[in-house]
Amino acid sequence: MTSEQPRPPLRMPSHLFEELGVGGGSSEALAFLARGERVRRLLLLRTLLARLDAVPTPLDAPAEAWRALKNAAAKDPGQVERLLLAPQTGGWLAHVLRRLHGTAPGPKLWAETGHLNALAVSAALRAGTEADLTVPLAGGALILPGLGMARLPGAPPGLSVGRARARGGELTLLSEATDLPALVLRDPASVPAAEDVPDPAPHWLPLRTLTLTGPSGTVAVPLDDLDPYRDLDDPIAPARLDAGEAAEWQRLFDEAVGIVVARGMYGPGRLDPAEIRAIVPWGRTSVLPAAPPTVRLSASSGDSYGGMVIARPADPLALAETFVHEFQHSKLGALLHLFRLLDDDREERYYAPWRGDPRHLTGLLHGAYAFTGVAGFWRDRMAEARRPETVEVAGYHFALRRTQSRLAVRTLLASGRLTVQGHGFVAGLARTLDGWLRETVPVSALTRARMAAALHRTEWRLRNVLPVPVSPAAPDTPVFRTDRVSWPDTRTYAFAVPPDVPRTADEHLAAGDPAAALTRYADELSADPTEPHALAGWIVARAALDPGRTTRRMLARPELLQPLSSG
Amino acid sequence: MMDSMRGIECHCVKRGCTLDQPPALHDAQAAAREPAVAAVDGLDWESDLADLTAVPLAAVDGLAPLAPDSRILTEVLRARNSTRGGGEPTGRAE
Repeated sequence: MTSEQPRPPLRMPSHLFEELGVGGGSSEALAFLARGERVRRLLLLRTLLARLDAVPTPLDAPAEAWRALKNAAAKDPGQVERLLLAPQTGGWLAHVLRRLHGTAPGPKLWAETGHLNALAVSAALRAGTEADLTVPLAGGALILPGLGMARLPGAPPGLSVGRARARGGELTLLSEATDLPALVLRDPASVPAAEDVPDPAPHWLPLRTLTLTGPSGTVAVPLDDLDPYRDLDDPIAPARLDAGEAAEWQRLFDEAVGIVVARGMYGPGRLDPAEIRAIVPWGRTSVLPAAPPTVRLSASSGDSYGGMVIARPADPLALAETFVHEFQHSKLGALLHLFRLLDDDREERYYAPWRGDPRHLTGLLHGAYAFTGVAGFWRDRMAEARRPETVEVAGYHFALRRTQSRLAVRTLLASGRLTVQGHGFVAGLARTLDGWLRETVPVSALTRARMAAALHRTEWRLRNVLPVPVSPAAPDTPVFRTDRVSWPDTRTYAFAVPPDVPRTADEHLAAGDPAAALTRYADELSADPTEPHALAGWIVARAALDPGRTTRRMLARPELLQPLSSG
Repeated sequence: MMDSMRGIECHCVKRGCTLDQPPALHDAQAAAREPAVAAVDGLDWESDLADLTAVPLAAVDGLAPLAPDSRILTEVLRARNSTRGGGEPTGRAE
């Protein structure tokens, strides 16, 4: 039974909305987003609790776990609120609701719903209250969200039922399946990643945290390699980092934070690192082999505000850029929870300048917002650069991302699918980008950026769009090929630095010699006249040499170029 | 005109058709076609979410569950089958 009273709606002051719309957001704006996220979490939790009783489970009833969680919240609401608002808890809530709805796969359902019991035990340990609950064990391991992972030695492989008792901060873990000695842990807690200390014992892996020291104190940002709900949707296994890799994360984090706050924390392209709520390391667990300079993969989900999945790069500049990029996604995700910004039919038909495939409108909006942040990030880097080569690189990224983002914003504004709030939001982005487009960038960097933008769009159309006239009824909707495959964008990053000694066609183009590039592209096309990479290069090189009406048309609809049947 | 194209012929759209603009070239022109936005200076934006700021976690069971067709729940229940995709080598955004 519920006895809900009518409540007023959340009202966001327009100046906070506008701060977010132009791509930034003050601490006040971010605090409002956090309020909205809390409301959403409470409502999703309530909705889930109402559905859990119908799930068959060998564990204690969900009501028992909920009671333990409430007891902990009554004693130490701050601790339990932090647990509720953690990105991983958001990921779990949304995933389990999808499981119950039949729109997500996963292991046995009782093990996923039983994560509530693990949350309750963790809450009790943090608050210093008592709990005595059966819990799901995976290979004898119990995840204690926000604290770490306890492993019961000798427990059976696969899923089994355990019993976890919390009392006075002490955890006692037993197996309900076999007669094993109890595991007792006194004050299980997270540890700083910087300590470079091997895991203390095989039966306890503490959650590591990155230490952030700022003007308002020290913040511990989880470096989560344990929680099953740390990814975007489906649960994943722990992937424990070596102590050295964890320490390397702290070192790189410190440097990236220094970069990201160098020119302030709240404008477009800037970030208060204390807003990051979890970092999920991806794809590597050791210092060796050496990490690549760039971030090979990063991800975030609207379900997990403030969380970001990142494959560690070697370069702190790349990590700092990723922080800004992913937090833009988080901000927009939170705003989309508050307001319907667009009417998206989810059809993937829009050109997104940072993707190889067509995107739906929400994806395009996310990309535009994220890359506006990235453009702002590089604008700051260009402004603070002292060496000419650094100015070149930063100027290239700034020029490229402002141009690409503005193109996406234009598509959004012309889509006819934005709500009133959506128009307000995207118009804010347009104002920011239009201002930036009037700013000076070194000519060589600007030329390469324009070239890279044109190359990507041209190759995208060649690979995705059928060479047929568009429908007069839907002139902005291309007809897509059915034989599309993913393709590597090898130019966007390669064009950041002008080559000293150009050899390939792309390098000649990047070096500002379209004539030499054109010859080489033509040679490549003589073997395969429709090869999209070379053909895109040929079209763009030709347009650079002869910027007339014909080449403009080729740039606009490159897919309409067809090989002749005979020479 | 086509002789330097090494076996490639241009099938341009007929004169007068609407052309997609190549990127980087026509921002000002594009902006002029974009719809205007009504000013909302001084107004609050009202969400369809209730303000639960004062509701403690322990009081969650006093709330009504989300309706099956509510905006928030509908979005949560949508399958996430496109979370890993696309040609962007560095991104997986849902």
